[in-house]
Amino acid sequence: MSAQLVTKYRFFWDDADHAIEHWLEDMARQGLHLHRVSWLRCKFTFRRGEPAEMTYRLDFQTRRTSPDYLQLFADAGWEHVDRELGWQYWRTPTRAGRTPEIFTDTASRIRKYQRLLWLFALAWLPTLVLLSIKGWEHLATPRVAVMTLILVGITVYAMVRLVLRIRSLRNPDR
Amino acid sequence: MAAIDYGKYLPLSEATYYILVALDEPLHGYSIMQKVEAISEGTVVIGPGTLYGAFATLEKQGLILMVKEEARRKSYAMTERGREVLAEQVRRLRIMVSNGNKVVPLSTKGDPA
Repeated sequence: MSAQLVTKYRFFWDDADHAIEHWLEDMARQGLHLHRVSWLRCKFTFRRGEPAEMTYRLDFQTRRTSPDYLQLFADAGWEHVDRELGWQYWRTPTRAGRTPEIFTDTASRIRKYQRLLWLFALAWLPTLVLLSIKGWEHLATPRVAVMTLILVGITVYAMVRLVLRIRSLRNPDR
Repeated sequence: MAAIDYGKYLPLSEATYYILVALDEPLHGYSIMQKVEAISEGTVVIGPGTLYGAFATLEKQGLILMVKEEARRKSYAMTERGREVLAEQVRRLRIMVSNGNKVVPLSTKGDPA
């Protein structure tokens, strides 16, 4: 039979990358190996194969990934599966003993989420500048106002989740 | 050159400390990871994500310098400033160890006799 592709749709908030990792590892155990991530990182395409113990790890890069970034991970034994919206999907076979990690200290783990926070904040900057120049009355029509409010609400919620994630990394006991 | 404001850099994280120590000679990323794991006797392992971020930070701080790019691998070396910062860190660590030793005498096996 030709390689079978299986598609699944899942939505995860940006702070829940560890949930994606666990989910992808579960899939690999069932023989479904991540192949592509698309549609605003909600569509996951898997290739059917032999069940395997894999470790998946996600990185987030605001800039386009450079060749030396990809080479460094490859040298360390990681396979670059795909990228979507700045998220980098890495995997490596799980070896007995120690779990492979791409981030080996709390500071660098936190910096990944801080990059995301900055991006969220920056994404709203042009809108805020435009509104302050053109005047807030452009929000006056109920439809625009409601749409803006919903988008602001989602952004703020995603950012609060990231801040809480950073705090739980700083104080793991709480 | 003006005196270095060590407070800006110290204390170095365990990973940063070992990256600087490893860069006593110019090395590329994966060699650094291997060398750090070896010389730290396996107590410090640096993942590629952590290392890549550290390169950017240390380069911005002027503690390391990219010296070569070959086959998609960047090699770095410690700068003069990096060496001075490391020296100050070692000096402070020596004081820390000597104080710790007064309370917990150094034993070869790591557990109290």
